[in-house]
Amino acid sequence: MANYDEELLETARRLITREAGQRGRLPRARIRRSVSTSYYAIFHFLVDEAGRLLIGAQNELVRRRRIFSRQFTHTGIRLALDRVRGTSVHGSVEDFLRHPAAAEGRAFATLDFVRQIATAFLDAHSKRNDADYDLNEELSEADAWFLAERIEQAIASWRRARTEGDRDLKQALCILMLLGGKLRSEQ
Amino acid sequence: MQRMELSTLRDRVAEIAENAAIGDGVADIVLEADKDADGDDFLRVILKIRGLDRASYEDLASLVTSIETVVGDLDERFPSVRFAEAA
Repeated sequence: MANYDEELLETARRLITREAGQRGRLPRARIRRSVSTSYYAIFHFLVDEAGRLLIGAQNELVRRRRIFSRQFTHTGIRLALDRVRGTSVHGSVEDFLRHPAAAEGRAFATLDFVRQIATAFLDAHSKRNDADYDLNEELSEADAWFLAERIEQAIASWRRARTEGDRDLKQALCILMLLGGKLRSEQ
Repeated sequence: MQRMELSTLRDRVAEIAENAAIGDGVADIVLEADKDADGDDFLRVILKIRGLDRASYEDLASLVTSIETVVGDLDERFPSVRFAEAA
């Protein structure tokens, strides 16, 4: 059975797929629904990953993971990922995200799989905001298919990152998402 | 972190677009500041491109990544890049 994020991405793509012989512009509603659905694909992927990494991946824990996933907020995830979207990790979360075995005080470059998921989420969050709430802002068919592709590639990149260090970073990042991107020292 | 004048950021985006694989097709660039539903600031970057339907994902992704990197180093607001077919 496909993961929920995969089902959502398939739905997002189906919304902008043309029938044989169909020409002209797609209805705006299909483009906007596609953008919004792609956003929910990456949102659900991240909260599902957080559940697996912080609660456990066993089948018998599924209900606990689903309850846990409801503790995340869209804003909280956005604020957390905004801190890791650059070429280096934001100074306010550097110590928290750094691997325990890594040397302190050295610049902490953002790993590519983290940057990919962060920028894809922030891009999707911004476009979903326009898709759902601001009809004055145009979104194109290209915006919709590009976003679905970008999210699929970001998720694939995250899944390929499997070293012990990658897992440690993912776990710390999921905690940061739960905390809404803010640590007590900076509140 | 700092914020730059929108005209400066637009100029940087134009430089990036000019050097991109699909640079010849970029007819216009609109860059504006806005707030999302939470009231947080972001930048909306609209690239108007001729022959957009023929552009590959790789070409668009390369352009978007370059804009996000360069603008991200200059300004704290996230640049959300969108595409429109040039009239």
